[in-house]
Amino acid sequence: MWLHTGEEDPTIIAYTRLWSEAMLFNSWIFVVFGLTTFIFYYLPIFRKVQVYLLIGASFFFYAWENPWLLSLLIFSITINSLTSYQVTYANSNRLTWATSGVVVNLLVLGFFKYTGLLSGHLIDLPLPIGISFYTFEGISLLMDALSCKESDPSFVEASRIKHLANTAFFVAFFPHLIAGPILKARSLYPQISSKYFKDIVWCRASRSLITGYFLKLVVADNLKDYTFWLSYPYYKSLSTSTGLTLLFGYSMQIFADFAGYSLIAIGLAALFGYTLPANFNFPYISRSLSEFWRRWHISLSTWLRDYLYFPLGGNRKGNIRTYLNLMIVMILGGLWHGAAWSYAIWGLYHGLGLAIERFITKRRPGDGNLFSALGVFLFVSFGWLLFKFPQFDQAIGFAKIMLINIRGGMNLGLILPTLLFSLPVIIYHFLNIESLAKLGKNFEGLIPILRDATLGFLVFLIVLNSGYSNGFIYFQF
Amino acid sequence: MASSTSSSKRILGFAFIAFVLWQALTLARIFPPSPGISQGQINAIRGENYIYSELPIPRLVLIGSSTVARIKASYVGSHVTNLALDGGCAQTGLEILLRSHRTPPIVLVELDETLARKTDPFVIDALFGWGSEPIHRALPGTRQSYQPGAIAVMLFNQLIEHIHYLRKGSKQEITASKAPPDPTAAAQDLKNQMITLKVEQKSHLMRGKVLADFESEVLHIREQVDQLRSQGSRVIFFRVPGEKAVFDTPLERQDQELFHRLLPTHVYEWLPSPRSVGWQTSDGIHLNDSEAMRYGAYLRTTLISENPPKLK
Repeated sequence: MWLHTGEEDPTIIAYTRLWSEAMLFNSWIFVVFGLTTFIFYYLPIFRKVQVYLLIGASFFFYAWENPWLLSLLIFSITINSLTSYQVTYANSNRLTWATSGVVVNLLVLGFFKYTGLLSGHLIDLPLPIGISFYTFEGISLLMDALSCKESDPSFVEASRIKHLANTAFFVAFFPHLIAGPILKARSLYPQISSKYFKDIVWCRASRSLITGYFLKLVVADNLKDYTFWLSYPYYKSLSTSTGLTLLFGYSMQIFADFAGYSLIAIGLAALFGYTLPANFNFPYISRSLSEFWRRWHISLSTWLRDYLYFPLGGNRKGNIRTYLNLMIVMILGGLWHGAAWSYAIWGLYHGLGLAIERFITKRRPGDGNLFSALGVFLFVSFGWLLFKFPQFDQAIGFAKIMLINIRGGMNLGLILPTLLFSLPVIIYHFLNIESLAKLGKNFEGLIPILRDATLGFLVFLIVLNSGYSNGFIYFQF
Repeated sequence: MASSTSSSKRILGFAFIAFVLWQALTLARIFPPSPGISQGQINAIRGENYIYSELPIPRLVLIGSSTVARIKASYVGSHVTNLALDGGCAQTGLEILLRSHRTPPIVLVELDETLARKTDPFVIDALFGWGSEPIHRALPGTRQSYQPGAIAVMLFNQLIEHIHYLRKGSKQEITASKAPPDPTAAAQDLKNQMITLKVEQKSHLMRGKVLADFESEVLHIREQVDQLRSQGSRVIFFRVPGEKAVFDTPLERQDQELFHRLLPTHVYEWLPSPRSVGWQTSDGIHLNDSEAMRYGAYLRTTLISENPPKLK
């Protein structure tokens, strides 16, 4: 979106640095693509080649804007398939194969994502879309293959060709290819089999799709028109009340954008007979920061925990080492989001938060209450400033302005729409609070009708109140 | 399977009922249309108001970006419509005119660096996207001006105003802050920063792809204007005056040279710049209200007074 002064939203500038604009889930072309794939997929004559059909469709989806990108994806698939096969079936050097596979994945990611940062932005390569997600999935495949015990039936097929096809499907399956959830090989490979139309779990698919599209199109895409005013230098004219409301709105927007994408991915996968893991579990009602990270971008946090935190020693090597591990993991997790020091600082901010929280709860254990949930939400929301402002000094500038402009009036033109479009996310979270959920159990007979009426209302709002989309925030990662 | 399909049917049924109810409420004019709550939506609604207007075709339409949008139609005269779009560019406005089949006798088109923004896909999609026009014409409840969120905000605003009025007995204070965000209301230091930023941006000449893209946008405008002229409109190019420091930059000179080369004065009409100088802006870019009024008066005298002077 262009604004009065001709300045562009920095988030959109980030999108343009991608090597390709993906085929968006919320575009008409995707509806046509998805429907065509769906129809062919369930035709009996294609039953034996369903996986190949999905691989072909996923390649088409990925290559939509830039066919050259496909070569990188195919390279990643080939390397991961070859090394994971060797890890499983080679008589010796399993660890060497696994290490080489991981190194190649990290080199590819590092080359495209961090060359700019390390060269002081002298070389600034455009980022191939989805690369952070599929390289992490490749590493997960290798680690899972390595950890397969002899007694465990391995998920890696004995036929190289079949394993290559399964790997291609695992990495490229279009619902999760661009922005996750980051899958684990161990959970997806066993699901690969012939699927039947009658087995589609329509409830899960429709609920995920409706809620996901609603969060993205109605909540996130509308909120972005208001949270834009947080950008530099516009925030300088914001009063504290308006600025903080917009920051609150940005917290809601980033959740709605990413959780929306994940739910759409889960719903789409369900239509093709696959179950993807949940990526969000009502994170803004978390009563501690560690709980927040068990509820936010679950597939990434789990990946970091299993493949980084645990191998570093986790919490088994004393307090100091635990705090250090937490910070290392969070800084690297921050850098995973983008090649900018502000992401590393964001990671450090959360790492420090987790370490301090751990230090305090060791001395004063407790479950936390509403105030702790509020504290976690405020902590996380201030952290999003580093996402909104790629330059650290701008984030600090915003914080300063909020301390200076306390007496400024409220800009209802910004505040009211921000609160209105944030409301669904608040309600969505509140309905999951234990006491409310228990209360709901008293009306179990009414729940299906109420739920369907609510979903019907969401469909109505999707049709009439969708904002204009420029893509998903997490596509830039 | 059976229960899940019946659930899906129920969801669609509820959605349909909500949709029908909403259309009934809008057709019954239970609430007025919203002017829009975000920049993109305000622009789309300006387009809708032009396309679906039941009034006669205006005699003058202004096209351009937010610098033109500051000049209210009433400053120029009656039967004038300002179709300039905040954060937009002339191409979008011209596209709306061409597709609306409501061609006015005179079209005033702003030419400046905002052309680089290209046609706004949101506005065009909202107005003319697949099936949009016949659906919006038949069912006003599907228009941007009747989006439930925009209506809710408008009604809530009215409620707050009413409460404020009852408590304070004055509407003055609250109306100032309910307007959509407006950078033209920027503080003095922000204005100076914007001027410095603009002068800095305009100190570099366009080269390579940027220049080629810009040229292709000017050529696109030329095509649009030729089409409008073939439909009987008189099209005049103009540039809204502004801060001298911003105008006196290398990029600005390059822009003007390029416009005059691709849209020569012996083929296309250009509005002469007003003689007076020292136009005041509120933020370095947009004229403040009194200056916008003064420039509106200049347009009225030059274009639609009884004996307008002949333009070059």
